[in-house]
Amino acid sequence: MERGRPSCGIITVIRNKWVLFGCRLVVAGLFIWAGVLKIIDPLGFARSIQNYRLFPRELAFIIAIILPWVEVLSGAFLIIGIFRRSSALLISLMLIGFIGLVAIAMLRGIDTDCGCFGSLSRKADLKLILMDGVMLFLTLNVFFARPHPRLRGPS
Amino acid sequence: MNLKNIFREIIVILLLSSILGAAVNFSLVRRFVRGEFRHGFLAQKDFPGIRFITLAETEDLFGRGGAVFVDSRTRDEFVAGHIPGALNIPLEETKDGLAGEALPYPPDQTLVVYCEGGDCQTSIALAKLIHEQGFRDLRIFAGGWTEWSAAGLPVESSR
Repeated sequence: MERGRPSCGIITVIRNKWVLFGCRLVVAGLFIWAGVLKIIDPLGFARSIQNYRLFPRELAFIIAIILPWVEVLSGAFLIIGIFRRSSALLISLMLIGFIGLVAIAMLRGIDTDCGCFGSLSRKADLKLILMDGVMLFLTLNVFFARPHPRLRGPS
Repeated sequence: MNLKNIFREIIVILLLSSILGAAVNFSLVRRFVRGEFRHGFLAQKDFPGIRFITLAETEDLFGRGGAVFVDSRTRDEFVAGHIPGALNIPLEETKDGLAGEALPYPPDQTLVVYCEGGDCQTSIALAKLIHEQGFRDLRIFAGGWTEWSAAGLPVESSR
């Protein structure tokens, strides 16, 4: 730990450069995988979006065309280290959105697949919210990590 | 790095994604603008045996007889009310595929699949499963139960 900075146990561990790199690897890997599966089947993803019954047809189509690329690009940038904090923030915002969508679907009693991994999608349920919550924690950890030399990731 | 730069980079990522998405799906965007997906996101060339029909066409098929109506909603919804004579194949019960005996009809049998209406997608998903079984005259009534019952057409309840 750099002199002058408080050495708090948990923070030291989660801000370790290898832990941060691990966070980037896990989050980016999942986002790239999820994005590619949706790019392969944009109409299937558009149907999944419509299942949530929150978006008009036109908006569902636009999201289905653009969002998978946002996932892939922000994931790729996060792993490469270009636009790292911006990608982390963008992924965090997407995760918050996904958590909100699943929660609304659950509250409205809509029984649907999440649409998150194309045809391999799982059910939109509490477990999914928890998984997204863990991902959000990992991503925010990357976002809030100060980019000073000692704590910078391996790349 | 300040927030201004971060938001600037986010806009760059969003712009790049929009350009890539539009370029890769150029033909899909063109078909969308032409109105191909106005009833549902289903590519006609991938499912040549499936087409969307309106309330008037559904009513006509019902009146002429011969078509089999398939309701993809849940058992509870079906019991509460459905199109007279309809079969209930809840999509949620087809996770392991569609049983062969679920539809004991020849492949050229006209089948009309419907769900709740509005943005419900279960009729499309069920129609795809039925299409995989070799049926080639599938119609999806996108207006679904909501439109049918609102029009004051005959209904049947299993209660």
